Amino acid sequence: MFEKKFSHNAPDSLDQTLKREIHLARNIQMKLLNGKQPVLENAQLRGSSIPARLIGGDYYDFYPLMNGKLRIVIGDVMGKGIPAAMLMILTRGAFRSAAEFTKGPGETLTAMNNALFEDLRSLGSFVTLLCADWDPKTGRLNYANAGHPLPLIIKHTKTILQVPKLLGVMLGGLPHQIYEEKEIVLDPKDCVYFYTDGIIEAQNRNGEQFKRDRLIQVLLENYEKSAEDLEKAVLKEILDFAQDTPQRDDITMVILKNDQNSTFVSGFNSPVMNY
Amino acid sequence: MDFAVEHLVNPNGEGFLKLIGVLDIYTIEKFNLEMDKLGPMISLTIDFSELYFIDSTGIGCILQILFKSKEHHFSVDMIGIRPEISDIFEVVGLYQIWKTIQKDG
Repeated sequence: MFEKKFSHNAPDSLDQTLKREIHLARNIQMKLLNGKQPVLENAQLRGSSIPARLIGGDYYDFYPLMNGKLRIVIGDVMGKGIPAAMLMILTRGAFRSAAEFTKGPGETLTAMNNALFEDLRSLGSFVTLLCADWDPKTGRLNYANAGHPLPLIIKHTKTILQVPKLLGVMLGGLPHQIYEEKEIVLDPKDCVYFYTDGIIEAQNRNGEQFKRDRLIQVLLENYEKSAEDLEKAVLKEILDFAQDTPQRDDITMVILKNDQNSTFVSGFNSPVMNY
Repeated sequence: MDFAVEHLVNPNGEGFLKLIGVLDIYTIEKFNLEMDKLGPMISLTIDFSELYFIDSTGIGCILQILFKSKEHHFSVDMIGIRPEISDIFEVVGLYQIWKTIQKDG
């Protein structure tokens, strides 16, 4: 006869179960978000994301293309916490699928909007995204915008370049959107700084916001540093500004620094292209 | 800063909504409760003149109003938008959505 053996341990409370599952979800998101990054020769690439809660809706990603270019995306899902994080994972999947077959950043955003529109509408949500293709051979950065703040270009002359203005509707806003592309050329030592609005909207205990001017100042002051040290400098500046004020929104940045004339992408999922 | 909303729909079916303070993830519940109280309308004017901050969740609320206006066939006018909020609306494409919905409406 088999005897049923009952566990005498009390079941976890709902609170404990939820806490455990949130931490597991955080681990998944951190692994996917801050995972392996492409190694670039003659350029530096750095991406980081800090959620306001344990998990969040900010997103960045890199996709090395077969033609040697690097596709970069940075985005912000409406809201915070678990709901935003779930949609962030959906957005990531849409980007990686689209990036495989689309010709440029504009087409990528169109494909993503087409894929996600109905889901975003039914959930009453949206995603802002900026997508850019970096060509290491020519120094060209092609970009397209779906409702996201435009990146800052810190020139080798230690000035900030105003990227040509490009507007576009957030994903989930209107169906069948065509996203225009624009292009700039990066000189050696130029740096591109992509970010989400959590940085410029970070608040201190007086309710003041960090703002774009402060961000520009810290970028210029630390321009000569490596991408990694530049990232640390920006984060330190935000922390010093906010002090003990709780983080209101997810904070994300991507830094691309053009070290020399040519860049070789040795990506984790594309062959090395030599020129 | 907290959030408050004043609303009314007059006998002609013209709705007025005034947003006051901060519309973000912490205050949208109050906004949604008030929105549910609005009855049938032929038009809605949203006054943003005393709205000082809006986050993505708040923008989502405004977006929902625009989509509702298409569904229930009422026009939407947005007035008194402060420059910093207007900049955000421009960047995310809210004006483009508003224009398209009003045109299709």
